[in-house]
Amino acid sequence: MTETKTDFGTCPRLLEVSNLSTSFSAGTKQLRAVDDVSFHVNEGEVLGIVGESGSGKSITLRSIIGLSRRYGQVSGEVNWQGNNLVTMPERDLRKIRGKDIAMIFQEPMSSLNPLLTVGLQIGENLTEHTDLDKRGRKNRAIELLEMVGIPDAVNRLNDYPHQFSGGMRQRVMIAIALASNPKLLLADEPTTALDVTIQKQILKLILDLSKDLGMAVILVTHDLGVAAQTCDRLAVMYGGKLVETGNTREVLRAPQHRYTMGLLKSVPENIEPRTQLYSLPGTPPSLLNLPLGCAFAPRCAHAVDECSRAKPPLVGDAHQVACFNPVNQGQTPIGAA
Amino acid sequence: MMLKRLLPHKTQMLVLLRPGFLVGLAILLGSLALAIFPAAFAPFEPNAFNYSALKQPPSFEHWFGTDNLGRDTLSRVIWAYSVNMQMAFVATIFALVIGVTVGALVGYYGGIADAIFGRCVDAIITFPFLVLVIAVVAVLGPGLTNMYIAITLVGWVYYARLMRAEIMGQMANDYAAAGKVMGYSDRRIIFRHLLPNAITPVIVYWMTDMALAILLGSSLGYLGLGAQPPQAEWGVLIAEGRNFITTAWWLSLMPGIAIVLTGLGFSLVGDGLADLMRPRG
Amino acid sequence: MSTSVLATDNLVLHFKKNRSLIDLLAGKPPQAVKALNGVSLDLKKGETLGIVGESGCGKSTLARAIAGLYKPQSGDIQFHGVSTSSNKGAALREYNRRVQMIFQDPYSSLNPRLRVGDMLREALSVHNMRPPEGIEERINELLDLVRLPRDAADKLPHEFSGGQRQRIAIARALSVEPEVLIADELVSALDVSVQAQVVNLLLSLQDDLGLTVLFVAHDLRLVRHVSHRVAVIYLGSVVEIGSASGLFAKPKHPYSQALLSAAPSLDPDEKGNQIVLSGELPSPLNIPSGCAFHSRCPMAEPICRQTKPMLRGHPESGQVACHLVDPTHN
Repeated sequence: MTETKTDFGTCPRLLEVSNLSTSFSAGTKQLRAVDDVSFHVNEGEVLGIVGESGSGKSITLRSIIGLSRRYGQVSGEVNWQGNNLVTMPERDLRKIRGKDIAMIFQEPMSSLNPLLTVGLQIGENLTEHTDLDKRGRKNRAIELLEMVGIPDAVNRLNDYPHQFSGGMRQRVMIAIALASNPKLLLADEPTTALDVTIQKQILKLILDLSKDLGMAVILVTHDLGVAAQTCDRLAVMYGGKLVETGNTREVLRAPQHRYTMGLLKSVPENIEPRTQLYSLPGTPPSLLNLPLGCAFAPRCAHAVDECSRAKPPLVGDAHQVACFNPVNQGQTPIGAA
Repeated sequence: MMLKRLLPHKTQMLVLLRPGFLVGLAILLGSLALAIFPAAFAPFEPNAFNYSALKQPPSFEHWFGTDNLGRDTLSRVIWAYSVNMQMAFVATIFALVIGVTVGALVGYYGGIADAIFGRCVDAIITFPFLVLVIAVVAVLGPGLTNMYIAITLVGWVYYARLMRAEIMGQMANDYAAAGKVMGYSDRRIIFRHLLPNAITPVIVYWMTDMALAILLGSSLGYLGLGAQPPQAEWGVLIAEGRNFITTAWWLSLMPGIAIVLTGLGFSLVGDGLADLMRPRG
Repeated sequence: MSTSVLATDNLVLHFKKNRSLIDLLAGKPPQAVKALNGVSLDLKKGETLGIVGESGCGKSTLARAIAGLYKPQSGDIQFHGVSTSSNKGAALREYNRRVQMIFQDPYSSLNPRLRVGDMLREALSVHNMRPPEGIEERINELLDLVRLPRDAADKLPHEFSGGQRQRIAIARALSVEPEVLIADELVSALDVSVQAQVVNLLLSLQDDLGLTVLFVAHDLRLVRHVSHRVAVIYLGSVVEIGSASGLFAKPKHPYSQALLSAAPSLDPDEKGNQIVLSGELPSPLNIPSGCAFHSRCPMAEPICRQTKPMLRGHPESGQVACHLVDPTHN
């Protein structure tokens, strides 16, 4: 099925992130979780940020709407409708957060208030960001719960979060996020805590809503399969930097960065059973102790001298890669070793 | 062997250099020295009467003054270190050993033993500690040995309760299950694997408890249920000074200061140990 | 590939929930989490049997029950044809030695205060695997085997990464020279780029040492890659079992079909067949009557609500527990 052939390159840009860096102080050291990251999101598109733990993908997402401010130093620019969210005062940011830009998290139970009914929590967001009266809010809450596929929505408004199962809670979170008709949804590993059959339901829901409401989504995930099935474009992160971005098909079919390539090759798909898998040597770097040059160089079989001396810049047009010795074009299709 | 594994890592050793810990350690080492060699530090015999120097205020000759029988208060406070430091240790060590063993077993095996244990703890903890100890001493009769027995009988429960909770917390880690799968005996899993990981809070509590034991011991001494006069013991000293509180304040104040200082030493060292014995860096 | 090493026979394991006083007074019946409801499996020598299912389906409970960590209410585990239910003392320890397990979380399965060398030394000496003078040499061999540097012996677990810790756990399990290795979510706590290293290690060790492996995981691609045969578990019962190639190519139970199609493919154009299961996993406190899957099954018929289907051989291959694919009901 190739129904999603929309060319988002022509759509207007909704969010533009330039040179975003976030660092935290860890004891005496500075920990650079996000290092000079630039990317953009077009209207209505689903962008996937893919990476392993410690790659900086979640911090990037949180830095966009100022959730990293309290703990670290954020620099660079996040351009949202002509305003820079990085320097925007917290008071103004709060008006955008939850209204135009909404966020859902990996663990829905910890981001819902256990002491308030679901109806109240949706209502809260509606009070904050819409002009609806009490009755209008209730109707809208029911509508939202129905929209995210919660059966018997009218009666479930008075239920507490613990009365919902994991998948249903994530639906509730999505309903709360949608309450104010956001233009951008930030989703931080929304299905990682869920089983595959439920994961499929939630991803489908997010995709359908994105399409129906024209809402852009940034989906952070460590699962390449989830990214492949959901995203229009991908941004791959490693050691706090973007290493590759591009159209999902291009990145997965013709990866240019050695890390993306290695990751794809190590997945046991289209390979003779019980044979040795391609494996990247070593482990992901500690952010406290990043190498001087490319963060992936110590694990890279194709590193050249330059890789250990300087950090490669992200170059290219639609398909960008940050590598001094990239994979040749059109070399390896998905998953094949 | 166990101590080697409890003790720390190079980076954690930095705790040792913290001023709080160092001050605490200095106080405790000083107290210990006084307790072990009182004769070397005390300028006078603790029980030597001197009728030519009755109730003298602190002076160059008698730093802490003298009492109504002319005994040198400093010497009596120093000699009391032997008794009071002994109290800190003897009144708690048996409670610690019994409590840790019972707590570890009950926490590990659970079931009926745990249920019975829970009821006992509830029953004992309902009563204020001091009241219960006094009740036991009243039955056994006053004196140091009976006081130790009384404090141990009541005190082990607190160690056991703490140990049980810690062991159960540690059991949530798979290394305990891994031990079972490896075919290790329960004894090995409890005492070699779980205990070293669970004991830290107990050791820290022990430090506070030693300070509490001194307080409790001197309270009982004050009430006439613990050490008996003329033995030099801080509680006894304070009680002796009570009648002269308006005319010879130093008699009660000086042993009081000794109690506070020693308690402080235990607390500071306890805090330092808590940081020191945390696993991982 | 034919002699059975380890077999479970109708294994049932329910965890009783503690009743609150109010429930007791109200006369509510005691509740139990019905983790395993009659699981019969058979591990053949040298094979890898994969166990897949969603969280809460009982696959980890099964692994732990076989490793001897839980005692089943009924049913039996047979090791080389001998029942293990009456094992005590030395016999139990010998069973434990021969059936080893590796846990999911390498951060909690290693004692944080034991150096790697001490950990291995302990295992070797408790089971008298080597004479005292041979132990140090064996520790080095084991570290070589799992491809860790020899100086690892002097280090504490926190000095290693997740992947290295999982190697240490494997070394510990192998130190007692087991026949069966139970791997419960061996790599799911590890970073994607590290998973392949550990999987490769498991595969080569199995071939070199002739191990029989029970591979429990939720990652279907991984299970397909390492397993000879695969069992699909739903709410504590095996719904389908068969060769990995057959089952993944053509799953027969509707649940297997839905589960396999839910795993997201790396190919953006490979959407799988679009079976989206409605609803969620029912609570294991309250398992639906008849076929436990009927509440979510797109094809359920009245009989599915009444009778629990038994595992029966399928003409093509493997066994399936479904009224609708069972030829005798057609």
